[in-house]
Amino acid sequence: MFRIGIGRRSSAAPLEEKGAADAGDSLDLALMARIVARDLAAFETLYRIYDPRLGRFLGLMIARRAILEEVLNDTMLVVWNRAATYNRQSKVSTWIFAIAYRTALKALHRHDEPHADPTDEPMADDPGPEQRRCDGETRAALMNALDMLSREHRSALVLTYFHELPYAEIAQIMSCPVDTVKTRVFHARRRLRALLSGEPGDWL
Amino acid sequence: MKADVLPIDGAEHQAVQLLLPWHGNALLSASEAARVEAHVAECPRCQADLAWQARLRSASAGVLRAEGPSSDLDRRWVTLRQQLASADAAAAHTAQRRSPRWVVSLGWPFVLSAQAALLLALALVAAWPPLSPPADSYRGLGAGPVNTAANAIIVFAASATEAQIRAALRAGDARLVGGPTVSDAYLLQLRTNDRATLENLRGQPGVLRVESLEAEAAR
Repeated sequence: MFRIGIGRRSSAAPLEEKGAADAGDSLDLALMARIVARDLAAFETLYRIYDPRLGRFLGLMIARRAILEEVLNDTMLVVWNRAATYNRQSKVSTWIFAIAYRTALKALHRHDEPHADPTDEPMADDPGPEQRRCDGETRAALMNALDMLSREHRSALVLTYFHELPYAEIAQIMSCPVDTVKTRVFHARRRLRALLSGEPGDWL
Repeated sequence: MKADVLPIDGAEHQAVQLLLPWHGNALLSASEAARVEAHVAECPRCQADLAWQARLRSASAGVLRAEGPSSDLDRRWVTLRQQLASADAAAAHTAQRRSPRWVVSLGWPFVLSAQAALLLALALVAAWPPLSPPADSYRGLGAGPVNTAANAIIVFAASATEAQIRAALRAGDARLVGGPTVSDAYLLQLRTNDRATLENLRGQPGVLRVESLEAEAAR
């Protein structure tokens, strides 16, 4: 049987990974219950779990570091203040990512930030010459191409390929129908491929 | 730049194209996965597309490593805790100014009724002549007018000792009038709520943060 998909989440061990995901969900739920009871230590634990994940998502939506950090903390502030409104209709991670997405859109609108520009301000420490040599061109080409997409297309594509979320969760995060997610990712993929068709490296 | 538009030949190809991004990483249902695999086995364009998506995923891992601002997590957490402390203190301050706690606990209808009864009683007392000359009432040393309104908040380090806390309060001529809030902030009443006093308090050992609520309110 033909099978090509080579994501970071291999289909060879779905049960093992599902177990890990379920454990993560259980931990999230337990933390949320304590946060509703205003347990600051539980909130700090949740914060430390989600800050890196949200940072990786929002870092591809927001160029300016100051705005990115503002959105990160505003998101978690909403989580703390509205923890009691979480109704378990979705996973905790989906609920938090949806808050982050809405907060980011508002911040981008407020600051009128047009597009992410990876050359504007580095988001992380210098990766070092070896990583630069290996990843630099590909990363720059990909970031430039992502920057050309609309916010909706870029967000849908990032959540799909970079965070490997199911389309149903992405629909909840972006507050849109499932078919809209599929269509957005299809068009974003097509546009990205066109943008990268002339680039050097793996994209040729 | 040449546009590489993917043609969509038929309904099945189109349906599979929409599902391809979630194929291969256990994110499709069993029936969806079977449908995709059956079509991809016969479709060179979808096979090429899947290979391209695999390269995209591989590249995305490098981008995520480079983009994550996780190195500043501790600093952001301290900032957020301070935001929580300020919000708590501001809320407490507002509640203190708007509705005394006893009013909140008894409820406004009760308070208004009690106020009406008190006015009636005062009117009756005023109408009657005094039965005896007024005597000087006793007043204890500690019975002066007490003002417990907070005008600042303070956050102590978890490692702060009692001696450090006492020293800080003395240095700032401050009284603790409330707290701790859920974020471990305490409400202060400063005799002199100015920049110099705040700076002096901030410089005390064991003190993490001091903010004026009056400045907060004025903002």
